[in-house]
Amino acid sequence: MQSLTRRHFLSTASALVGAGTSGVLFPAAAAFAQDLPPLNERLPENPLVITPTDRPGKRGGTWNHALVGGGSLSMLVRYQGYEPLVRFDPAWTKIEANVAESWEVSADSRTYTFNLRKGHKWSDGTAYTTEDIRFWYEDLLLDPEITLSNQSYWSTGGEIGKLDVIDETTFSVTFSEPNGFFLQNLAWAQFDQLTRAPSAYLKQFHAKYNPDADKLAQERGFDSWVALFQREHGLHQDNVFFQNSNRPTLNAWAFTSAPGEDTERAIAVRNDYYFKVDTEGTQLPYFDKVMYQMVADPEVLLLKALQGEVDLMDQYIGTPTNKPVLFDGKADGDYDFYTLKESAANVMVFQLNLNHTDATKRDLFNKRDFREALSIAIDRQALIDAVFVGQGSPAQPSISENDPLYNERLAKQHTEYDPDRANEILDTLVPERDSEGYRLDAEGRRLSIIFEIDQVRTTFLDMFELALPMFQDVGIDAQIRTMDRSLWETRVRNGRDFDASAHQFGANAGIAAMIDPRYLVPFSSNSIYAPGWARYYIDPTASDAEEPPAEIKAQQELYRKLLSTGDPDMQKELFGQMLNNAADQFLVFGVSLPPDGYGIVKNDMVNTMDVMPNSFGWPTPGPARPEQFFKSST
Amino acid sequence: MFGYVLKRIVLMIPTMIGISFIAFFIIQLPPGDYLTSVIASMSDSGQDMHPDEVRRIRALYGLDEPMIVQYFKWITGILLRGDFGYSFEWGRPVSELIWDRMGATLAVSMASLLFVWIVSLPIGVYSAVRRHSIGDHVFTLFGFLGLAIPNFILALTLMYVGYKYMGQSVGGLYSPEFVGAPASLAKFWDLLKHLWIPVVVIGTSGTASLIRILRANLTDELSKPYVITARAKGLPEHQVIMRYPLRIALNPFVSAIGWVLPQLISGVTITAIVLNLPTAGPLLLRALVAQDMYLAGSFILLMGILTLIGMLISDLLLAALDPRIRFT
Repeated sequence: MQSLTRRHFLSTASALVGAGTSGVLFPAAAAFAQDLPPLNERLPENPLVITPTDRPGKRGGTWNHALVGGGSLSMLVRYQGYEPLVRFDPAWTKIEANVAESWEVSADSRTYTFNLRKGHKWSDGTAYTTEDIRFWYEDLLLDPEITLSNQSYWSTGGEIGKLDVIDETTFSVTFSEPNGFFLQNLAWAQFDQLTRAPSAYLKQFHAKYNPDADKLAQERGFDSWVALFQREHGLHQDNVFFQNSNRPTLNAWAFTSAPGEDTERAIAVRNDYYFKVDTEGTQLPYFDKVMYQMVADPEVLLLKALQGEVDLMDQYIGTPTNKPVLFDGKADGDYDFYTLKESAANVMVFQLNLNHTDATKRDLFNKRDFREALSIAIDRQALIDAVFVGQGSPAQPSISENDPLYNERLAKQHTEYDPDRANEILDTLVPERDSEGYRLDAEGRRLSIIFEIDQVRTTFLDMFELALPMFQDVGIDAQIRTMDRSLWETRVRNGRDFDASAHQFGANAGIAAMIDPRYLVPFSSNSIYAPGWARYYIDPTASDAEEPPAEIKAQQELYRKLLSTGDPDMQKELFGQMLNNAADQFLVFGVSLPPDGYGIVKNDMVNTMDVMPNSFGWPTPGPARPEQFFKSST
Repeated sequence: MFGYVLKRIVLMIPTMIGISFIAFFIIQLPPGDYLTSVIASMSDSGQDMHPDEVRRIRALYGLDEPMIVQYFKWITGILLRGDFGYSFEWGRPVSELIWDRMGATLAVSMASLLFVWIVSLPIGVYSAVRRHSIGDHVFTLFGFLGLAIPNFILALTLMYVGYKYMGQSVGGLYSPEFVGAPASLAKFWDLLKHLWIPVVVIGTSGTASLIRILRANLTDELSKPYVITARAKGLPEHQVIMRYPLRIALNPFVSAIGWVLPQLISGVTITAIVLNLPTAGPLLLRALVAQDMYLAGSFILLMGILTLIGMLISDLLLAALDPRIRFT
């Protein structure tokens, strides 16, 4: 509380004095531990040796970074938060050891055994052992009062995997049924919480370990210990997780001034107990600290990038419209471009509501021919030329052509522009027209389809500008309603009585598409074209679940089977079947596979990658190992 | 006069209750709540929240209770404990966040207000006295330009000029190397280098309108018989103008305080966002977008209080300046 009063005093004082002191609102970054034990006591017995991308570097320097707004902290996992037990390799082709020294999978994919590193320590010097694993498992995962996110991969057949602690550094997890994607899920950004719950620190807030936990919570202004405990572990929400600078971490940098503690900037400094060394034995990370400026608007960030104040950035500013400006500013800003391989399934996916509450519309939308007619009524090339400056080629939401799992039928079917054929099909389904030439549905109403769109997705609005007249040309009264995000979430993601919407994301490559097949099978709330069927997949007994037709159910079963398969060849085989089924069912249609994106990197940054995937699962640039980035000028 | 002030303050209480209720109610009007916006941004990064988890967090934050109960909790917290509640998005008590931002907000506001007064007073007087001279026309031209150009365009233009021709770090009140550094002469200089942009941007339209008002009022006064009498008696010209007509023409300056206070704190939001200023405006906007209701509600409540106080101060000052106005 002392520092708070001081802060209050300072800010009030500065208000009075006016301009002079208003920036000195926070105490200087806490003096970092002065008396560190020698290096070999800080490193685990067997540290992870990192082979730098280009060359080993020197320790020192600051990584200048920026965030937009206070609600975007999930971005931080990309830059300094990607330390799961096992991680994706830089090329996103396989899984590597990270916090775990090694692991073993039983032949039936039911038992996973992990070995931690002996002598591994949290950033405050306390030991990281299987006690941390046990604490997370027993006191967080299994406790019904505690809320976590993204932990469904811990369950098979409705049962949570069983943890066995073998010794201080060894533990195993056994599932009742095969769990083929356990490792991939652990490596997926922010899914693994075993490396993020320091038991020694968190126990003080848990009623089981501290009888005064309730009192402590009340002192801090919370109703119960659960509320304070949630606040402290933050594992239910990325924003809460990164707002805590007191909780020790295994990451390369630890916050001394976390986002939110200061609304202007955040600072993270080197974790002296970090478990990685380079090939010359230098302890990583190279950068002494990471400094995030918190800006309110992407345009400000763009100017800062032009001025060379940002060392590496692709989010927010890497848009097609900004590219010429950033290109012109290369010399002045002393930066260059790198390429981002986009991983989304499509630039925009048209989704008719297949579980519409209006029976007439639902029946029509569920006819494959109707969706085919709408799909070929669109001149995709015109959309691509106008909105993406000609970059990309017509495609449905699918797997990219370079991927071994590429399915040409799924990608290319019904992408040719053929309004005559579309009219022909529609004439068999909805032949009646009104005086203005619009078709009438079975009840004699004008056939209107209202696409409800979240207004922040500006490229969607541009594309609809061109697509709506194309739909109208074939007699469909297509309209667009843009709305604020919260209304969209309520009406579309949590509603049933919208006609249609459009969205993006999903995945177009191997591992990612298997974990997020939202456009191939309705399996999560991100499959907004079939909310009732997705609910059925999660919980068939839920009141808002809707039993899907047989072929959708079969696809859902196939996906369940895929998830329980550990053998990569078998996974590919099953996923290939799913892609074929998806091509048969043709539930949604799109415009184009996304063109390559870009980011900017300062010329003195060393060991970054020239080409990277752009994904949230492979949290760009996290798996490119920011701990071994450094500046040639330091 | 004491009785008058007391009466005004007592009257403020029901007004405040009304403001707080309406503010809270309007914030809750849009569909969904804070969790809806969290889920939206989580699903953007490929995460999916189980409906049961959503329910539990909603209960944890007390978002599952009816609006009136939430309001009651919030307002009793403020009245009984001075506790403005908790910001969901920033994970900190609302009062801390607001105080953090008030220093910079007041600094920018006061600097702008001073700029407005310093520039508009002499120009207004000059324009009134030398009506239809070349100087008057030039100032009028710039005045209308200042009124007509939207603040954010001016802000973006000045920022670009600052970046392109002066090579300075744009946005914010300090260059990155000075943020969080202890106070020093270099830091103050850096502040001045940044402060001129927001001050000019925020001040232009205010300056332009005050010049127009002052010019019109003073023109009216200058043709009145008492001024002619003063001239006839041989008073020097500057005394003729300064002694009475100017004092009367100053009324709008003073009555402006009432709306200038809250407007300077909230009305400059767009400018502050474009310029990335660490003031209250951007924080309020974010809070509204994210439906972080306790933070947004407290901001609006605070602005309501500022408006009421501003009104009271300007009424008192007006009475002191103009003997024709009486307390009733």
